[in-house]
Amino acid sequence: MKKLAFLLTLILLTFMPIACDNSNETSDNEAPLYIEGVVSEINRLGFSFTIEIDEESYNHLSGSVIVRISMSNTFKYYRVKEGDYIRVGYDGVEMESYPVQINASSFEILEN
Amino acid sequence: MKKTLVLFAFVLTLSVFQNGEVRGQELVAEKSDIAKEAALKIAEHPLDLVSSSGEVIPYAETIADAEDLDDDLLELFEKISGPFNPVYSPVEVDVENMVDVGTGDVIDIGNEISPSVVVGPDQRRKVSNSLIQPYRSLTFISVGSNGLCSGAVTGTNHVLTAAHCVDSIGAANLQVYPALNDSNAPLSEYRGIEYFVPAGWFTNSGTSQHRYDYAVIRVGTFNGRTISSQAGTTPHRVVSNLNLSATYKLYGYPSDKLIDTGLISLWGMTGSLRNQESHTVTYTIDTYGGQSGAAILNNSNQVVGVHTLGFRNANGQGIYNSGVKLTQSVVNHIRSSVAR
Repeated sequence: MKKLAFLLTLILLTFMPIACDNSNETSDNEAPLYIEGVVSEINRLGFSFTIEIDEESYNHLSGSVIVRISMSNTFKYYRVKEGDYIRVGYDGVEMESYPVQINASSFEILEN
Repeated sequence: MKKTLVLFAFVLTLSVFQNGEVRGQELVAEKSDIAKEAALKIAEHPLDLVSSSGEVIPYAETIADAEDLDDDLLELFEKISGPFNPVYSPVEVDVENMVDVGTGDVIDIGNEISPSVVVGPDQRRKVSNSLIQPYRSLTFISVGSNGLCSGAVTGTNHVLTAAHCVDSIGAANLQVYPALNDSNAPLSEYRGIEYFVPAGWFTNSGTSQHRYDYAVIRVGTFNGRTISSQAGTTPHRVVSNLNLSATYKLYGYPSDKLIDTGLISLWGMTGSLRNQESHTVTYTIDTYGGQSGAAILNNSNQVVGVHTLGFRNANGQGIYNSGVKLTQSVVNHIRSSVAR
């Protein structure tokens, strides 16, 4: 029975997707920049969301910013809702469309 | 032991449910993101070209396309052209419905605008007459309901821009306005039909992705007239090493000026380059969000690059901007796109 339990646990660990829910995405930048703001729109198909920058937290950008999420962190991404207050780390590189776009190196929901 | 098995069954059920949910959402994403799907599943090389309709054009074929272009198309690429037979069909652009600028009133944001991507004093100036070349064939691009980018007419029905301007939206949601100034589009509007992006844009991430940040949009006609017959075309030049001591022009549609004035206008400046790598170039020419896709022009008004990025240091201060150089592979992609 112990062998069976061990086997089942092994299977569980192999397939359980919760194990993939990393809290941070990898980043090459040792000192990422952080922006905070409220999620105003979610583009589930494009794996991105738009935030309205809280200028008190970061005064180098204003207005909307589109945050791109890598496919490796989809679980955490699917928890993001419109209205969430969120903190996003990025490497300081901005794609200069309007709204500006950034690739998130990490993000966390500060308030639901 | 029974408790262990029950707990296991519960967690396994939860696991399968969550896994299935994500797979379902990814399937929806893939179906709606045809170019990306083609790049990830069919393309075999980062320089394969993928279209918004899911076509994958192998890189070898893009080279053959570029070499086999007929003389008329080649002429478009080699010198400033047109307009060949302009018939003015001006369009009034509804700024409030295009871009969220609050009430549409002039908003004085003054020093609140970050000086970051405007390096040092703001040296950009507004183009007074956008109907003369090289400005005539530079374009404003409306991206969906609330986004904007810049571009340049580069073929009969084709516009060069940045990949990140188009990759998350259907081609039909792109509207192109050549020579737009003071929110007036004197040469009409042209709706996107299809776009072409290198597969490497989708298959790479981070800094290795930036060299692939260019796209060509194929647009429809307006009242039977092609965009190039009205706006002419901006010629392009194959480059390997750019002359860092020369000056270059970068004109487009910066959002800070739109917010500041309430009008969409063509702005830019002439400046020098800072540094270059094999596929990208950096400069301190001032830019702002909205100028992605803008053509970097040399002294002969030939496109030598596409503006894409702004860089900040660890303190958040803008230090320089960057674009993709028109190397031989990029030009092959442009010409292959134009041939379709």
